[in-house]
Amino acid sequence: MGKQITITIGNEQGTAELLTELAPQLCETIERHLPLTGLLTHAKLVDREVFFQAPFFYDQAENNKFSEKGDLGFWNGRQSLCFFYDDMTPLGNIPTFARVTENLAGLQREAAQVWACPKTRITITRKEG
Amino acid sequence: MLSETVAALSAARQAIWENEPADIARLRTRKGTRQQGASAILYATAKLGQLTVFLNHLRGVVLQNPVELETVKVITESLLEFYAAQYGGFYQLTDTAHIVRQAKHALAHVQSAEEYVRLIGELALYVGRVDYWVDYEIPWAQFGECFEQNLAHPD
Repeated sequence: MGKQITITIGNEQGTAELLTELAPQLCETIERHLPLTGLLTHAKLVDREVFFQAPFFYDQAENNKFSEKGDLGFWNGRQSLCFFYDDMTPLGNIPTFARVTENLAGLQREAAQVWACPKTRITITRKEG
Repeated sequence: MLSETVAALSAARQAIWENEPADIARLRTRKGTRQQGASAILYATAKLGQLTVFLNHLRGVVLQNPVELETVKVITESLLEFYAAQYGGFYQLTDTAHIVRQAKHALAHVQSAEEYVRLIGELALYVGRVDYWVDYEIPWAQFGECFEQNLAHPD
């Protein structure tokens, strides 16, 4: 198992694996800015995506892929950190840096509520050990 | 001058990163046609989103291409003044209008692509942040349900 991060949304906590082999520079950028926190808003066109703004740019196209359930990506068009919490059709490719490996169901429950209740807190930290 | 403005933009952005900007309370008071506030909020997020996208594209173009900087600056100044006037005049987003104009004035001191990218990047983060705060104001779930009900029962 590679490097891991802890994702907390509302009352749920999950684990994601950083995709350091596929996106080494993006993962390094994310790690450098940890802990990251923000208030979530729900995507308006992608049915199962939440995101929040990050205070930095990432100008490469590393591990640019169609997002899948459980992926975390960075959209530099608006400096947004995106979490694709369930099956959906993404709008396009984005650099992808992590995938949820533990408690996706719990994170899904919290993320789904963001549509009706925006500004739910998300925090991403390094998972030690 | 340029470094001072970039630092001021960064400080202004950090001040509203976790705390709702005063502009949002002013925007809530803005009533449009038939004394409703929905159109002001929806138009405000559209205009903030437009400038954020333009700024990010301009930043990316200057970052990744050999461009004639003075022409890019003229185009950018025009966009910044247009949107600053709308933010302050149409939507009561007076702090945002002030920040956008600060960046516009600082453009005159930009002498390199690196300086342009730094200034416009910082402004993009600020305007994008304000847009997030406006987006939080929109009851998207209820709005979507109401819209679909109207489509199903147009009369």
